[in-house]
Amino acid sequence: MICPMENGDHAELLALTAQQLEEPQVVRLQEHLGACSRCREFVARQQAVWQALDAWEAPAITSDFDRRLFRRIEQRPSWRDRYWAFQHWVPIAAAACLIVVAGWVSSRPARVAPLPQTQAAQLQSLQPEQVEHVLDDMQMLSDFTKAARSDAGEL
Amino acid sequence: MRVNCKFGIAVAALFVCLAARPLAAQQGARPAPKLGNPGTLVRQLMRMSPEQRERALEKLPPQRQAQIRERLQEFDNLPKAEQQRRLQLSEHFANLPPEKQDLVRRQIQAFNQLPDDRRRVVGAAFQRLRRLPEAERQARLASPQFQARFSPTEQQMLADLSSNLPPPTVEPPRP
Repeated sequence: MICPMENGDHAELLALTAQQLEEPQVVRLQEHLGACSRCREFVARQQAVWQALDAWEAPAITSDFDRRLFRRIEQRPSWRDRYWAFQHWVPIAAAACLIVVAGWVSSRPARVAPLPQTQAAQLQSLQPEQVEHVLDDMQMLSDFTKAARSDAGEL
Repeated sequence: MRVNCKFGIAVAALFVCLAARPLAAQQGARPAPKLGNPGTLVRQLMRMSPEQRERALEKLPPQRQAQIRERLQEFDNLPKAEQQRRLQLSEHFANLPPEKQDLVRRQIQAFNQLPDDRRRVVGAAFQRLRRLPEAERQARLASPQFQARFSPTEQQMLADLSSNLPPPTVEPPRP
């Protein structure tokens, strides 16, 4: 017989512990269990589960359980009540949404203000060489101050 | 009634936030920079976000837009702290009168042409001098020890550069 544990098929072993198998299958499995410690262990654990379930007793219900249950069912709110309750929460939810939207809007970076007219006009005449000139000056100043910091042992 | 009141407060808060935004943007905005100097405009372009810059450049002829963008890209590629440091240096430099700017340029060129050993000594001295308050710096420059240590050309170089370039405190800490 192919070992159910090695085969990865535990259904037969579970059926055995649930006493759902026919006699020939039970005999065949019992023979296998005699030789296979893994299956034996699995069946023992499963039997322990069944025994624990058998030992558990549901607490008895109180005498007025049914009465209380039906009363609660009767007390369930009607659709009308639910509608009114929903209407009660709508303004609160809307207010919460508005606050979230306001927070989001105020945290966004402000819209870019266009350049003042005079600067916009100046930009029209800006030449790439002027950008390059500023970059060259920046580079010169940066290189010099870095060299000085390095010479002073600060870098 | 109480719910409606809360709703009203929320709506009011929303409008206050929305109304406050343009005001905050105005207050948070830098004061309008001095005009007349293209360097000011270039630095302003450098400080802009990509969207702002695109909006500013969009009216230029496409070829010029591309050329300017390409040059600004060089600046954009620097780390943020270095960008900030260069902008501050450049701004200080731009505030000097043109003749002082030329003087600084010439003296930096002269510094770069010094022999390596002298350049190191002069560079370190410049770094110390630029930290000093004006009066103390002048006293140091006039001291006999200083004059004995540096040639007249180097002394002039140190005097010109240390009095025209910002103290290192202006520079943000390096990352």
